[in-house]
Amino acid sequence: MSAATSGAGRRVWAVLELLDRQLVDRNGHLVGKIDDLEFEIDDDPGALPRVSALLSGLGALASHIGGDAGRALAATERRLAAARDRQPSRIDIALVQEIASSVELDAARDDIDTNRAERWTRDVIIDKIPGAGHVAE
Amino acid sequence: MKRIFGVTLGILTAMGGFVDIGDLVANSETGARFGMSLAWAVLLGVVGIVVYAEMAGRVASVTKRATFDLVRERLGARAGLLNLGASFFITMLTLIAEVAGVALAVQLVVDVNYLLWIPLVGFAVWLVIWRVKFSTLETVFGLMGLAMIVVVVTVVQLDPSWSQLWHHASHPTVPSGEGHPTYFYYAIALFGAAMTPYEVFFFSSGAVEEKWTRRDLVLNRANVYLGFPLGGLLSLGLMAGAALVFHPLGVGVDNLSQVALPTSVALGKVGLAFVIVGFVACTFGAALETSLSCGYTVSQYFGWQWGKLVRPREASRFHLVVLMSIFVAVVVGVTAVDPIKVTEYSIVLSAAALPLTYFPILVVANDRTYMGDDVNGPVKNTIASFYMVLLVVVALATIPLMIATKAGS
Repeated sequence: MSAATSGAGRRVWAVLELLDRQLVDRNGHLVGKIDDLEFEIDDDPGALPRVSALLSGLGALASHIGGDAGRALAATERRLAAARDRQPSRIDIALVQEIASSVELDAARDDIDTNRAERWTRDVIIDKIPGAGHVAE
Repeated sequence: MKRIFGVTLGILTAMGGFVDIGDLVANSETGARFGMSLAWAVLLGVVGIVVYAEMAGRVASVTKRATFDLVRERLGARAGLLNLGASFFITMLTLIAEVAGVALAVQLVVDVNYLLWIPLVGFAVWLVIWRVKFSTLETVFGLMGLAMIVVVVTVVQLDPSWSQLWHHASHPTVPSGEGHPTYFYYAIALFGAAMTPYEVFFFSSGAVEEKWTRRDLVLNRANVYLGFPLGGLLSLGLMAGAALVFHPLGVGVDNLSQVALPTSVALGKVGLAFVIVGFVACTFGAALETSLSCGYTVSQYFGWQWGKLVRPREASRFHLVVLMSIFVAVVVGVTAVDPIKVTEYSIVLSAAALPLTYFPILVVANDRTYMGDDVNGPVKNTIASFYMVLLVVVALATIPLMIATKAGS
């Protein structure tokens, strides 16, 4: 069932069924948690807000947590993230394939914005260690 | 073959909880100071960990979700982060102790100062995690750890008056010269060691690594019902050995070679050889369990790819956390902190964090949308609820007791 494309829409409880859930890519790889939601509100009078994207990653998590811990996380994120953008990584709601105990995305993780830190760690650190590409024996 | 060796996950998990470096000494120490009068605390812990590890393993088999995944989902980002901070700190402290513990066990054989072994041990732990398949790791160290059964043989060989041992255990009294706060401080230490949270992190993540499904629920129960009571038995064996050899003499225990003494008294050199193999296997197994748990908890909280089912480069942040944890353990370890004190603190501190870990397991094990017909039955829920109350009481009592008794001294 696609939450995004079905015309009638689907009713989902945001905090219970979306927030803090695991995101899984097309190949079954884990690609982060849903740390926050982005809503779009049309200018039409009476139009309902609709979820336009799932936000994931330290930036989104930091503002979700708030307080001192949130500020510490946000500071960490600013150190780690590329300086170019300050927006939390977003995943367009159109990519959502299924909402179950985890949320499945119709995309490979290398194409997902929230996967930058994983890629950076892989390219800069883990790939430098012999045996990184081998399955364990 | 898979079925025969299928229970080694439970065995390895339990050894990391019951007979890791701190507990090897703590069990003997309580035997020497309190005789068998604290045996009940071990039994209470065994039942508790059996109940909750069974639930964690069942949830992992049915839903493919390990414990810290549930912690984040059910407690939310904030309380989840608080639990992550506490659990990671405790697990890290234990890892520091285990790396030094392996080195101490090696020092019993090769007379080179243990501090020199610590970097090598750290490297070996990392290499095993980097290269060895999960099921191989679990089988090898689970089976090697069985050498510790020699401590039970020791007690039999010492030919005690069983009725007297039983009487001490079943009619616990605080020995003269020991205060009540100290007695309960050690009770919490034993109970906390049995229920230490990294056991469920490791066990549930291991169930996912082993690709357990609904069809493996019997295997899950076999692991739990065999592994943890075995851990408890070894714990009691160490306690009884020390109670028989040291307690009558009024001698205290504070290092690893004393832990081995009852066995060498009863069984000579062969027994000593077994016990040392057991020490190495249990501490090394506990080092693997805790370093993997460091990676599991952080990755599962943030939703990163984790585990040894995929190549290291496909779970890069998980492997980075494991690598950094081991590195920190080595660096702190070579400063010659006392590993036995470190685990004793970490066990007691972990008692304070237990409810936050076990509550989400209980909730999800009752959630029909996840578990279908495999939800908890009424008996299990009754026992589990009793333990939840007990965990909260223990959590509240822990820190005041620790301060009042100056950590049991």
